[in-house]
Amino acid sequence: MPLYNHLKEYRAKKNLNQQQLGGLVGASRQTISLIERGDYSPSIILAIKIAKVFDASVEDIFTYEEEEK
Amino acid sequence: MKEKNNSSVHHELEENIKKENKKAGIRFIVIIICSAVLGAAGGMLTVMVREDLKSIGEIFETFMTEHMTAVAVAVPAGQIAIAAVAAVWCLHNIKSSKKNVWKLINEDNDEELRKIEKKLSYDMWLISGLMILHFLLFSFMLMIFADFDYGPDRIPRLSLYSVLSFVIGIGVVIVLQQKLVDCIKLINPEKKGSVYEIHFEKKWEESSDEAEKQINCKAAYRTYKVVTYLCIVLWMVLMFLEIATGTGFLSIIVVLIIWGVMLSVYSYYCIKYSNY
Repeated sequence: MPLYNHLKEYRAKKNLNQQQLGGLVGASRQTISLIERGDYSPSIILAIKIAKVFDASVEDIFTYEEEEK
Repeated sequence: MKEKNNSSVHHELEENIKKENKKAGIRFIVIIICSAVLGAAGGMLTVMVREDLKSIGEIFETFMTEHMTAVAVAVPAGQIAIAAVAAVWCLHNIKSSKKNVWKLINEDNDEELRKIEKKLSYDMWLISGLMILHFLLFSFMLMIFADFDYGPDRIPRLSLYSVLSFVIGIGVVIVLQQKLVDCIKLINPEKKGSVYEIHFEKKWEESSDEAEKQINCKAAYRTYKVVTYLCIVLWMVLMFLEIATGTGFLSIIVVLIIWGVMLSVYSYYCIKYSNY
């Protein structure tokens, strides 16, 4: 999956566990875990909600890299 | 000029479609020929083993006649035993999961939490399978009471015994499902719904977030594909069995109804959600 993220680092900085972050953005702990592992690409709405929690931009947390063909 | 470009693009697209169809068409014809050969071989084999298949049925009938009472007692007892084993297994898993869950959440131990969630999901799968097994065994009991002469004195007692074991079995399944759901809700507090509610599945789905909904969609599509293949295989097997032993046309109709309903519901919702 070409969508990488720094969610775990941001979470650690704010001292939030996966469940607390999930509660703040209306997602489950499992979803936060899936995003962190790169197994799920969040919707634009969820990505914006996550970015808002950390007072950061979506691009600060999520980076998209083109897959090599 | 623009119109000419459009026309050449259109022509190129049509050519590509034709090429793709030609390539796939050859493979399709080979598959059809192979299936026809296999079907013919299966049909011939069925006719050849017709007597053997009939003798299997006769062996079953002889066994049932000789061990009527033993079967009528053993099957319901087995149902209760299976329910007891499942209860011990699941309750142990639920207890061990609950013990550490808060500590693991606070410690942010994703790996261990995932292990717990996986274990609970497998238990839920096991319990759902157990429910189908109880339905199967209960139908089996009703069938043997109808087909074999147990005598008017024993039928009510044995029927009651069967019904009781079925009710106990299903009761255990429902209680275990609720206990598993409660445990999942402890790890995922946003989840809503109780197994005892009529609209449990709707509530559960509504409380699922986007990733969970996507997982459900993927799993549902896989299920659709697997059941489609299963229906084709079952249709063939049942047709051969009907030729060989006269199992009846009803089973074939049932499989085709399941296939038709599934296909129609899938097509209907694809059209509906596409918002044409």
